[in-house]
Order: sequence, then structure tokens, then C-alpha cells
Amino acid sequence: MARKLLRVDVGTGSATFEELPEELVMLGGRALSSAIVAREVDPACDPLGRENKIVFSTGLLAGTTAPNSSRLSVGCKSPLTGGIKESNSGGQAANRLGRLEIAAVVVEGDPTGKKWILNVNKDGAFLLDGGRYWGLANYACAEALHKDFGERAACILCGPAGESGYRNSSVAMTDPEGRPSRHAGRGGSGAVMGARGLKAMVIDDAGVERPALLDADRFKQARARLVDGLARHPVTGDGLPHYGTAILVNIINEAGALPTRNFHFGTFNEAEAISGETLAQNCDERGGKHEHSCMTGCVVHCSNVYVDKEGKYVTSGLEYETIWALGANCENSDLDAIAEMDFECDDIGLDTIEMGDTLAVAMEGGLLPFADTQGMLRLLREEVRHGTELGHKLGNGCERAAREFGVTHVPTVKHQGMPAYDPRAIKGIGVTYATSPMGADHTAGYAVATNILDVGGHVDPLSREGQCPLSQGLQEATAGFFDSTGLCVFLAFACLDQPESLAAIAEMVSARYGREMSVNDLVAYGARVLDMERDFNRRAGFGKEDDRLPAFFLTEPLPPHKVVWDVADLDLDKVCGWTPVMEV
Amino acid sequence: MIAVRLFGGLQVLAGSGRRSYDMPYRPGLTVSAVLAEEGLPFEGIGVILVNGRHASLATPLQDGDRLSVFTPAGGG
Repeated sequence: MARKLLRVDVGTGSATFEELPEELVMLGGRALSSAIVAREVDPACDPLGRENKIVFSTGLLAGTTAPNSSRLSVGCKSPLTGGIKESNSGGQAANRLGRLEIAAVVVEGDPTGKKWILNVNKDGAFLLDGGRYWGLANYACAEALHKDFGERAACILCGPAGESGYRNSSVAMTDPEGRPSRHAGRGGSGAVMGARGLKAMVIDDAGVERPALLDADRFKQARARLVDGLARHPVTGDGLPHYGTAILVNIINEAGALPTRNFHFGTFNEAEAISGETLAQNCDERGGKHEHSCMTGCVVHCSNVYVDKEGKYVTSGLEYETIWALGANCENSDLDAIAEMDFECDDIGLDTIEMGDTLAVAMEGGLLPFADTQGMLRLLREEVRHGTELGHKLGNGCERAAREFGVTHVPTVKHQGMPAYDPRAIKGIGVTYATSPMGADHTAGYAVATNILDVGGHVDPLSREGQCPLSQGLQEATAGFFDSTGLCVFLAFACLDQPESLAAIAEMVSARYGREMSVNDLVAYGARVLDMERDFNRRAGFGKEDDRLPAFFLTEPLPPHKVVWDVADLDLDKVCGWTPVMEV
Repeated sequence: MIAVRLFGGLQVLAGSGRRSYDMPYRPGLTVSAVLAEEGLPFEGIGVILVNGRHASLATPLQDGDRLSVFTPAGGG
């Protein structure tokens, strides 16, 4: 059976399966969501209007036994950036959809006041009245859906933020324990789901076999090589399982690149209090958990379950980005409070990076003092959660909030808030922020690996030399090997040092489909995905002036290294394929 | 003085349990000498920073340096 496309019309209430056209057959994940958005969505449309669509696509290896292969891509025209968006997440949904051989779910149409949920199982796909779930926050909604559809069902949720049309709203996915703790966070996809009147998707794969493999023996051998490589590599086999992503707090801080107080400083004096080491110690002492998996089939286990001093559940998947955004960036050193804020964001359906950037500019604008931890919690619980006037000002992202509060020191690219690395002190990630079609995004080309972590070689983070080729290569490899196969990008830590692991991914794709894909083919594939996304952005009105960092990075030296952003515009333009204009 | 900062599980590897301490400076001191005095096995070590800049086991130290040593790490 071939993978198929599920088209859902929220106006007519229909859900119909289509064959994938030949040119889309070998596309998955980000490649597929971006291809569908590029061909079916008008780049000039209002992202929250009736013309936008939301696409959920599984990777080429979804539903197979490939390790860490359950990332789900969510694509649309972004209400935050105004450009094309693909944001992917772990959780259980991609595994279930992959087993049902569904390559993509395309949700379109004008719901005219109707509220839906979409139920997908072995018997088909059904749009059902979702009125009674509308208005529920993510944890309550997941619990209600599991009660109604069974514990095994995987849920994809639009939270209160998405219902309210916040431009910072995530799409939540349930984890193996059924908690909505995994999010396609960036770019406001939750609001596009909400605008389609779709509260949730519930996917049950009971009674379904795994997808057929064209060459099962070859697949099995390649899989074994990749799993072995992941276990052998010190980052995927040891560092990530032990401390999770928060291990980066101390490293990035010591390297002078931890954005602090709305990107004014590169070190945070209280970093130790919010570090991965402290998080792991709290988990051990209180009965929480590290080495947790966010999806079936994960062999890295970088997630965690965080509990309070009484051992009571607070949140799951407390990540480096969240800890930085709501911690150092707001000069907040209370890890327990950050965990509570993470729960609020997960429950409301907010991207924690964008929310932290937003609160930091609001602090700079005088709404509340830096380090006012209780004030931050109050804003989330009383304003953002309930959609008050102030809640809307804070729910539409960093750049819009900065305008509201009269702040000009705004760390965004293409209207999206920056993640947890100051681009002046890690210049490779600055190139990715500037040139990714997604806006300021770290996962799109994680140059931190080579600039700071000595994975895949070393390129001096403070020098502009070599940063553009580094970022471009990583962006192409990420789009090809990870975002489009559905493999977790953390596998790249091993693959950057192990050519045989990279080759194993290409072999698994070849063996699954019986179509030969080499390592070079997948790199070229990634480059085509980026071209397609950049073409959409050009048609949406983006120019080369949008592939730049904000001016303050060029003029304000960052302590402690006293560095400014100095990568040449012409070099950024080469990454993006802009044709040089002849000077006359 | 050299300000030594050990991260990840390094203080466990060292056996002393110390994560942060000052060490008297002496001419000719290198990163590897500091780590050897703490009993740290070199194979468990990832990134080494001296004053926030990347360094190696052979890097010579100056009086007043801050030495930060990490186990192999990733994330994002």
C-alpha cells in the first residue's frame, strides 16, 4: 500500500483520501508540507484568513522501526512571520499516522463557525463535532479525548492560544504518557489550526500493521548500524540522556553567548541555578525523571519529567530553550518557577522561545521589572491564558509586543524571536538566523554544534570566517536528512562525526521505498526544499533586506567578548541565492 | 590563581566532588596538568574553554585564567 494524502474540508465536513501525485511520492515531513503549502496556498493571503491551509506531514521513515523517526511537520503560511512555516515536533502522532500510511493531512476550507475534531483510524477519517472540546486547555482536552477515544490514541491539539488567534501559538502533540507536552511551537501554527475550526486530531492505529518495506533485510541492517552509531557517540549515547538539552546552559554561558536581559549580555551570573546539572539533581532528589522519551522508538532519551519539592508533577520536556527564554533572558534564576511557566505555555499552547522573548521586551519596556518571577507567572496565568487585552498584546510575539511597549531593542528575524544563542558570539548560528526561510530558528542549521560543541569539527565562533558555508551545509543536511525523513535532528550530533551513520539513513530510505537515495541525493534534496521555501517567501514579499539581523547586533558589542555581528551582507545573500546586482 | 570550573559529571569522575575551585598558578601550567592533579581521565572530557575561548589539553595557562571543562554535550 502506498502512502496517501488525507484532505479535510472544514467547510463541507468531508475527509477524503487521495493518491500522492508522482512528484510528491518521495517527499516527507518538511519537504512535503512545504511543497503542499507552496503549490496550494497563495503567498499573499492573510495567514489567519480562510485561504490559508494547515498541513501535517509525516517523515519518509514514519511508522517504521527507524529510531527517533516520529517527528511530525506542521506547515502553513505563518501568522507570525508572514512567510512559509514548517515547525516539527516529537510526540506520538507521526508514529500513528505513519503506521496508517498517511503522508500528509491537509486541512482547508471555511468552517463558518463550526468546531471540529478529526478522528483517524483503520476504518478511515471522520470529521466530528468538536464543540464540547473547544475552550479546553491542552491538558484537560487531551484527558477528555483519551477518555472518549482510548488511551492509545495520539492527539494533536490547538490550545486556547490558537483558539484566540494568537500569532504565538503552538500545535501540541501528546507524548507516550498522553501528556500534551510536545509542541510544534514556532511561527503560530496553532492559530491557523484554530482558524480552520479544528480543535484536535485523534489518531488510533489499532489493528494496523507497520508499513511494508521494499527491502526489509537491507533496512534492518542499516537501522542496526545507525542505532549502534548513536549508542557509541558520546553526545547521543551519554551527554543527552544524562542531562538533556539543559546541559547547554553552563556551556553557552561560559562561552559568553547566553543571551541575558533581552540580549544585552552574554553571561548570566546565576546560570548554575538553572543549569542541566541542577535540573538533573532536582529530578534525582525529588523523584522526577531524566532519560525520558518523547516518542516511541527514541533511543536518545533526552526528555525529562520535572516534579516539585513534594514530588508532584509540574511539567515534562523542560528544555534548554525554555529555561533560557524564561530564565536568563528575563534574568530569572528560579528553575521551579520556569518549570511552572513551561506548564502554563504547554497548557495554553504557546511557544516558549517566543514567549520568553516577548516577556523580556515587555520588561525592557517597563511592564514589569527584570527578574520578577511572580510577575511573569501572573501575566501567563491571568492575562495570556484568559485572552485579556494585555494577554493579546503578549500573545502575538516579541516584535508586536515591542511595538506596544515602545521598545527598539528587538531580537527578531523575519518577525520571529531569536532562540538561546547570541549571534554575535556564535556567528554560525547568526547566519542560520539570518538566512533560514523560517526566520530566527536554531534547529534549521545548528552551527552551535561546530562553533561551540566541537561536533563535526570546529569553526571559531567569534570569527566570521567559514560561517556561511557551515550554516548553508547544515541547513541543507537538516532539511534533507532529518526534517524530511521525520528523524529527530539530535541524531545529527552522531551523524556529523560518523559518515557511516549518515549513509545508514540514506539506505533506510532506499530500502523502505525501493528507490535508490544516496547521501548526496539527500543533501541535494534538502537544497531543493530550501529553494522552494525561499521562492514562497519571495512571492510573499520578502527581499534580501529580510535576510539580516537587527541593527543593534552590528553596533552594540556583546560582553564579555566585546564582539559585534560582522558577517558581510553579500555572503548572506550567497547563502540565500540572491543574484548580486552589478554596481554601475 | 586559576579559577577551575568542572561541568557535567566531571566532579564525579574526579572523585573529589568539587565543581568549582581556585588553584595556585605556577609558570608552565597547562590544562592537562590541572586536570591530572584533579585525577580526571582525559577520555571523559569534551569541550575545554579558557576565558570563554576554545582550548586544548596542551594549552598553557596564565595567572588569573578561568578554566571551564565539560563532558561531551549536545542539545538545542
